[in-house]
Amino acid sequence: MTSRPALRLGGLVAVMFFTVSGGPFGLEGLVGSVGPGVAILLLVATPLIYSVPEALLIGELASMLPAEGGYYQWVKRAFGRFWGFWNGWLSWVYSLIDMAIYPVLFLQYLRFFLPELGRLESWLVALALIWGATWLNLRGTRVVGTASGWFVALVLAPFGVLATVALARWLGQPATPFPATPFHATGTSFLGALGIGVSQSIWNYSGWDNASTIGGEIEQSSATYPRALARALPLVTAVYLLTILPALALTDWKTWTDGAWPQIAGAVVGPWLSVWVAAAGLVSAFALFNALLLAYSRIPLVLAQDGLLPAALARTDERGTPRNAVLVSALAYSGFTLVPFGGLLAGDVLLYSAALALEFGALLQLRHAEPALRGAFRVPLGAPALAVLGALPILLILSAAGLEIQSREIGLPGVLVAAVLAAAGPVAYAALGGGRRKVKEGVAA
Amino acid sequence: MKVVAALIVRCCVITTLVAVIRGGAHDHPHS
Repeated sequence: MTSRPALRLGGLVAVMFFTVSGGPFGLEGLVGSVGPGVAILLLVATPLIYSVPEALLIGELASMLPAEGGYYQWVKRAFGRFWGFWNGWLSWVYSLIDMAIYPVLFLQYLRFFLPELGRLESWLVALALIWGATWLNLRGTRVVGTASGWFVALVLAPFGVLATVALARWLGQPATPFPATPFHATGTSFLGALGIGVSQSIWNYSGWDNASTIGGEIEQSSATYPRALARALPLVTAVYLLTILPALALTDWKTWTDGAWPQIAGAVVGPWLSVWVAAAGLVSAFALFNALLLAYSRIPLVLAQDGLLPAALARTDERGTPRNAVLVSALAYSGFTLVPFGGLLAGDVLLYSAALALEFGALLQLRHAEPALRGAFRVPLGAPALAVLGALPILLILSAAGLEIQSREIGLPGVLVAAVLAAAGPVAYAALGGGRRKVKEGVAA
Repeated sequence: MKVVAALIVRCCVITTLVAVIRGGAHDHPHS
């Protein structure tokens, strides 16, 4: 038997922070595009309507089945191998689009320091980010957890300075109003602004199931995962609101465009904070990729353990790290790096909602079929109330996609691509032998 | 609370380091 270094609560909260948020980067563009009032409304309402229900349901699932492979295992246990595979497929396909974004974000902040960066250099930097994170991942889950703990502090420290200085100046000027006017951006209606913003707000507040794939590598996972959710969700919400509200009160909201955090910090505090915030942007993009590589690489691992992918991907080293699965994932993400996936975001949100719906369905099914299956945490509600709770995020995510398709031209191709990729899941299942091959679980190298 | 306290301590350590580096840069503006 191998001794597997377990991730503890602090490390898991940090990994969760980066599999969901990564800090307030990106939200400055949200404020500028929808207007201050709608942006604040979205940042307050999304965690309540979307994240709290998602975190509660995911918390119960992660607690009742704290296994490596997380959501894949939940859906497989509830509905069988095919549906488990499809859930894993949706998440993995979604990850290809998701993981192409972080090298682009990294380059956006690197251009603050090196504005003349060419195409070849950009590509090399993107590969360096991917393989740097891969190296860290190959050193084991505990290393990723410890590093993520420091990355959270590195990302949040300059925003702490910005928020403190801005708050002191805001409170010192009693005439400065609460920064919610205009409610929506000029040239948009209230619904139009919501349509533009709600997908992005959900994007910044979702992914509470991502870290469940390392369920087998967490110390006392059944209790630790829900406890980590209870810390990470308030942390993410507080970070968003505390960084945005005071700085917004002191600056012109029209200057809040994508990538403007360094300029905003510079305007409120001084040029030195611009540099620090841009450096934090670099750390955030790297840490997001690093934590998500940890989480997503466990999908090929468990698919291989179940005989749906080559057995080599099921091998783990003496620390329990699936080296081959990490390397193959990094290769796949290298192939898609810098592909302009921006237009596919609406589709990405749909793929995620399909996977999430399967997971919520699995919870209802498991409560019905296996009432004795209980972990350390259980949502204190009966099945009907649980179904309503699960319907809230799914309905919000679907209306978000609908609003986005109406308000932007780029939405529909994304939805079509998502539909084709989702439909390819059953084909892939059949092509991979439908799980006829069996491999012993937890093969050690 | 331990998790949040550890995060705040780390942020303070990093902020102090940045303040020291910034102070150093101000002492030697032409270096």
